[in-house]
Amino acid sequence: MSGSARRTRLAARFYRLLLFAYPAEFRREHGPEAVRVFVQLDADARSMRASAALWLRAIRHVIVDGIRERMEQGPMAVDSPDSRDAAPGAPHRRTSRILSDLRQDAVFALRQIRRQPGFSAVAIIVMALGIGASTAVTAVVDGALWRPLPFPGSDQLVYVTDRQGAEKGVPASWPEFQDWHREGRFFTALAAFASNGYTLRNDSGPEIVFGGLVAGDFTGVLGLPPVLGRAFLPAAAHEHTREVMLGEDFWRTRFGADHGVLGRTLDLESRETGSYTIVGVMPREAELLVQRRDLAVWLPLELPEPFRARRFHLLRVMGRLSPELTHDAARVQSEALASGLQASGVTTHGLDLMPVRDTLIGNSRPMLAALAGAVVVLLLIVSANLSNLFLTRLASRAKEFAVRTAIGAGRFRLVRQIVTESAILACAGGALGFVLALWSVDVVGSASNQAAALVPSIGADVRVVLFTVAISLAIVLLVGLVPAVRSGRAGIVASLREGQARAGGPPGSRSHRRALVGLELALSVVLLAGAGLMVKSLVLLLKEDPGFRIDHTLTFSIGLRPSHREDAAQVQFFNALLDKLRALPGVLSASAVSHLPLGGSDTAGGFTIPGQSLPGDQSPHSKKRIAAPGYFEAMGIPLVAGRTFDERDRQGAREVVVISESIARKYWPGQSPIGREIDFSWGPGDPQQIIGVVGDVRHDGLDQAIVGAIYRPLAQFPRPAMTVVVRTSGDPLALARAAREEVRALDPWQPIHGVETMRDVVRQSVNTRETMMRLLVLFALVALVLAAVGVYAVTAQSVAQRTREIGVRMALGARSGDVLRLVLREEGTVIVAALTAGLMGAWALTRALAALLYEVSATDPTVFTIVASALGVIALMAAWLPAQRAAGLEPLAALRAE
Amino acid sequence: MPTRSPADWLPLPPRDLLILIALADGVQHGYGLIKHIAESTRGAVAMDPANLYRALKRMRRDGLVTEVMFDGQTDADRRRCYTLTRLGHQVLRAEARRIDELAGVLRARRLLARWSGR
Repeated sequence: MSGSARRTRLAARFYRLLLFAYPAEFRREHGPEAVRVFVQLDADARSMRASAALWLRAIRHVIVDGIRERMEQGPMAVDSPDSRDAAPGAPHRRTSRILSDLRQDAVFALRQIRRQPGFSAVAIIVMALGIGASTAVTAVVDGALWRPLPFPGSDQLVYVTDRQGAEKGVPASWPEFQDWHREGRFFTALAAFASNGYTLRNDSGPEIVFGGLVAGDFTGVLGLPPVLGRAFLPAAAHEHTREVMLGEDFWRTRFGADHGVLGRTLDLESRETGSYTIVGVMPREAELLVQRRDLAVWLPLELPEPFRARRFHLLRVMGRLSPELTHDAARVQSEALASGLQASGVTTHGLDLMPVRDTLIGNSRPMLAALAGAVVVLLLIVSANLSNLFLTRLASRAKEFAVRTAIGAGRFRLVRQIVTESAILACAGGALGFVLALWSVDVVGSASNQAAALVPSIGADVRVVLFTVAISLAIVLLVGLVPAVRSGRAGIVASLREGQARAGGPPGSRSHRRALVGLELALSVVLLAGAGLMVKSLVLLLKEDPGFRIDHTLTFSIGLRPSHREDAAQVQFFNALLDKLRALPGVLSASAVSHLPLGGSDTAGGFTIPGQSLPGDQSPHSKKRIAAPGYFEAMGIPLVAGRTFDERDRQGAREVVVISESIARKYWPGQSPIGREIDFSWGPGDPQQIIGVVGDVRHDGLDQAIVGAIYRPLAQFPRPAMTVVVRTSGDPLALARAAREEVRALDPWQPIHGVETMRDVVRQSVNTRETMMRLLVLFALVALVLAAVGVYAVTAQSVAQRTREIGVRMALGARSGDVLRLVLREEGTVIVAALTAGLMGAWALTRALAALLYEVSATDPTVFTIVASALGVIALMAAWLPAQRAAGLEPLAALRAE
Repeated sequence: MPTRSPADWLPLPPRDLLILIALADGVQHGYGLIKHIAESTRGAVAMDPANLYRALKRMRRDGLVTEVMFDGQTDADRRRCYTLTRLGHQVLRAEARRIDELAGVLRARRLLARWSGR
């Protein structure tokens, strides 16, 4: 529904833009109506293909007819008697003359363009590819790096994180937030954020929605008022009032942006069931600030008592600095605050301030830089290709120009003619490129999740449109003006005299064009090498052993409803569910864990080893997980020593843990940790006994270093939110329905979410890398095709120019093999030189990719070799086709050609 | 401007002819015209909106079509509707006669029959 609205806006904007080809008067009179009709026609288009055809047709018609309309109208208006009376005299006549010349140029240019549909189509498509790709990438880079964030005074916004010794960026605890709030005078506003899953009960059944929980002055930090209604009142006033704000997107999609929602109630279940009164709508930008994209509702943050302890680091804290403070000054102040707090003895932790933009962009900066670099290279290739195309075209028209010069056309007039032609082609290419950019900006944006959130709809942005126009203009100048000036030289007349015009342009242009093709080939090597490195990285990454089995595993998440919130009830529910799942046909094993590896959620913290004392900043640290019996078996995580959880590990029995191999090696080197104790400071209790050691697992990403994990049994550490893993014998998704039924049988109001296979989970964890790889591969393929076409065209032309020479050689006894060798030797020299230059360029430039590569050197010899030889073979084939045609010539026919 | 006889417009450009044919059925707005033309040519002619209005503008200036407004339409969602003038009807009929005569010539020389027979 919002998709079609967006489409309508897009279509209207597109057509309105096109209409600029028409004179202003026409636009005023008929523009809105024409746009409306176009939007209707677009809505009628039943398929993507029909729609694409409509848009393409519109580009062609509007531009051509618009120019016609201008021409019919412009000079006519000037020539009308009234205007002549109004402005008599020489200046006027000159204007009128220039206008009529322009008109003549345009008419002639249009005729030329239509007479060569193949050339025109290729030129427009090549331009569109270059302009589209660069516009889309520019829009993304602009949104992510250059444009101000959508919060007023966004430079003052910082994330505030806890620092424990060497470990930075830890979420804050509730008391820390209170300390910072109380003592941090350099903040004008400070807020804490957490999120929670809720069951929304509506007519169609239960549904999991996510809620943002905020404490402190959240709207003060955000700097934006609610879209509707009001924000939450300060803490004291809202305690237990059960107020809720809707997320803007949720409000728009579910409530149709109804202004009457204020005062209505929403039934939400979390720790307790309740109906909440809607008091306002939170602006969409808030999700960007807290880096979540799925928050349906916002509620005041009220942490339950046990979680208010200092050891629970659950909060994302963000603050707005006083406007007069620089970031450095603020950092000094925050260090002072930290030492003050440490001196008073309440904490040993410090704090860090992180500018919001740095965090939002995160690690996408190298990615965006690489994309921008790739697109510049692509644009160069496109320009070289176009230049080449236009040179060929001019060469074949040399005779025409010579004739025009002979009958009195000045050099300037010829240049203007050529520029007019390329300008018209560039208009069409620019418009088509803009459409390509509109379609592809989402794809480019998804190369970085963080950046995607920052990139608004591209058409909304005048700057991006201006960029498209600027690129198109640059292309006009480059491909139109340069060859135009060249051919404006007297050489053409000479060439006419010499009778060379029949076969091609002046001899100099061939080496010029060879150089251009060489440049294209060399740049293609760079792009292909970059793409190859990314492909190899991803292949290696996916080969990486995650420490568990990926295939035949279904996962889904459950956040238990309040009716199951008693500790015993939680354990009972999960045990009952797992038993039922294990009994399903096709299920090999089933279990559950608090945080699925590569699933995106995580929790970690310190532990102590009774009898061992380590300096503060080396205190033992690990991932913390809660697992149901059978988890390691279901995930295929190997047991290294001891045993895993079973029925013995009940509430009331000896508290136990299973640790992963790297922790065992680090703290009990050379000994068995089985039977030893650790104190897992995650809630009250006695030290726990280690009963088993299991393999390490990559939790944070396939490319991330392994961090050890400590597992506790669900029965001894009950928890309402778990992710179920089911190992199946067949297609895991085939069991999704049955699994859902089992949950429903236990409690019809209990929702589940995030149903996916483990393979999908792994795939998503490399999503950014994969998109980046796809884009680079796409760019590289376009470059490859353009380069191959370039080689083909140059060889074909050179062969055509030498038809007579070849004929003579053959008449004198040269065999077709000799001719083939002759042609290939010449082109081969260019190809080899270009590949060598390209490899050197790649060697220098792919270093920029180093940050994105995984276990691959930026100058990986295998990739470079494959790329160079593949490109070499393709280029030789492109040269071989016309060369072979030359070799097959009849000597007599070839001689007669002259 | 001296009065022109319907014959002065002949032969009509194909696009103008299609518009006049579509309008011969009654009053139409832009979207309706495009749909009508697409249907009557079995989808072979897909007219661009701006181009249509350009043609209509010219034909209005020439007095072949005229704009009509319906009561009760607000300015905001006002749709321009078009219909044939008397002259428009005459031109359309004249063009039809011309085409018919032409077709007769073609048939007499067995050109049309041969084409349609294929």
